Amino acid sequence: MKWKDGSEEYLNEYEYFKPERRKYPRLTQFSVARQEAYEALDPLLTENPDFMRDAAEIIFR
Amino acid sequence: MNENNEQFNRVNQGAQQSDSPPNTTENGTPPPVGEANTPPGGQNPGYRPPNGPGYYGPYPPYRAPQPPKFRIVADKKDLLFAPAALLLCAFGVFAGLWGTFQAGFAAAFLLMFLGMSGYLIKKGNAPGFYATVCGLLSLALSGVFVITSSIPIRFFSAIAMTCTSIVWFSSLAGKRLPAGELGMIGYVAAPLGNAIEEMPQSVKAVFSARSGGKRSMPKALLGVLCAVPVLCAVIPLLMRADVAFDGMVSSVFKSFGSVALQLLLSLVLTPFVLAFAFSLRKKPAPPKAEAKQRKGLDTAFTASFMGILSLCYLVYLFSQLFYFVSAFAGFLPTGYHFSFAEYARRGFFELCMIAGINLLVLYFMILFARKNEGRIPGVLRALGVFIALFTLFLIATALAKNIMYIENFGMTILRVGSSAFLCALAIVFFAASLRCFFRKVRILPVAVVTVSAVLCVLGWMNLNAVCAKYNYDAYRSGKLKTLDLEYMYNLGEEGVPYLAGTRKRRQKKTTPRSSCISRFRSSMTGRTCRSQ
Repeated sequence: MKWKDGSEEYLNEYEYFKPERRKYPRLTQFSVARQEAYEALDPLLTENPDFMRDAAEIIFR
Repeated sequence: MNENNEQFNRVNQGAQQSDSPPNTTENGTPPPVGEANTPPGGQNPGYRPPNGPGYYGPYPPYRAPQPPKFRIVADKKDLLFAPAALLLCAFGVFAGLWGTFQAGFAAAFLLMFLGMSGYLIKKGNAPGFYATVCGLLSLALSGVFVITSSIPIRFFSAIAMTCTSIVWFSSLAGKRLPAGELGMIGYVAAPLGNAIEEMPQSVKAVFSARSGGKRSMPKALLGVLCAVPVLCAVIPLLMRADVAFDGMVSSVFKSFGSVALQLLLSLVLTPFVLAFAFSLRKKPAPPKAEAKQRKGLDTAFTASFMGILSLCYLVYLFSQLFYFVSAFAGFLPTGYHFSFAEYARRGFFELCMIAGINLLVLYFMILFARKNEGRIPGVLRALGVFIALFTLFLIATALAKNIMYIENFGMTILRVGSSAFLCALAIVFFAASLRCFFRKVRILPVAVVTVSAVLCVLGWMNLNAVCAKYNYDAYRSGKLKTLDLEYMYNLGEEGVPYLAGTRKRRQKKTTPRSSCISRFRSSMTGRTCRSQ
């Protein structure tokens, strides 16, 4: 699997953007700041899935 | 001649290999002065040849009897703690190191804190007030890892957590904070040094411990090894029987290299944790060395050094009169127009540096000044208090400048962080000026608690989020004319909700959808610096 621009960065982390994963975040990678970032991005990501890669980059870079 | 030399060397080697110093009497005390080099057959009736008869060489010098070497003998509590330490280390590596130092790290620290406290606690040995404060602070600091993603705050919090938790563990083990200005350094560093030193012995002690007259640990390990072939048969069957178990085991084997590395790291860390705990619990505190009567620096030298510095600061204070009395306006360059922005922008970090230098000067004065019966001479006390007061004035000025700066140009991590550092420094300066008069006040313990508390506050309020929120709100209310989107981007996860907020606002303003999307993307990836 690759992003639309052909890159493969943050693909593993992309898993965490899925709504079912956000409900039960992993203890090892949880932080309040990260959770708030997910929640803020949620409507935008639902609206425009193309933002996924950029959002993944901003959170996991 | 050569034969004599060879014989002498052989005899000396024999003397070095023997267990006890050869020139001690039966009681282990040194022979009386003047008898040490008495040749065999001479006047000394207590003389004992080091390597049998035939010794004619000079007698080896007297060596004072050494205290018995510290040996760890593991008891039942240690044997119970050893597997617990292995599990705690494995969890720490898995959840802490591999979890990018977020909530998993806090959970691992909490478990380690509880486990270690349970192991070290002794009946009738209540930790002191200072140690309790340190213990609570270390727990509070671990919470920072759940809240923020700021790397500098987490990094310094980890250091502060280490220091404060060591103070707590040492106090639980019955070790008291040693006297002296630098006692705190040894108090924190010694357990870590002991842990490195006693690592091999701790592992040996665990494996050689006897329970009911038999060594139990090697047999327990043998049992684990024997269970491996059976597991190899059982696990595939369980995988076939249940999908969830199948998925779990498959995911472990998918990242087998990472799991193996985690296990290896846990095995390396465990001896360190064991040695840390064993040496704290079992190793006696070193005997109190008699305080060396240091002469200290001559008062005239110290007073003149600090006097020059104080004079310079006095002149600086005089130059500040311009801001209050127009008669001194001649000091300023021609064409100078006072503005808050200019005043605020200039000199904040320089003032911070001067405060740091002053702290060093004051601390060295307290350490090295020649004292009369432990008391600092009056002139040095006066100069020390002047420098402390001057620095408090500088800190107040720097903070005022910083507040103005933030109001004009927005909040950044550096601006808020350095202001918080200045507040901590003010408390330390207050303690240092008290130390000039009261010997019981100790600066380093105060500094450790103050810095930890400040980090706690910065972490729990989530500095990055506060900066992002302040700038965003100030921009929306018109207080700030521009919003630095690149800086928001650099704030990391904390900046994301506000970046998303700016995007939503712009979308509402009749901006074409495609343009809005591209602007959002560019703002998210930091390709533009400022919004319109």
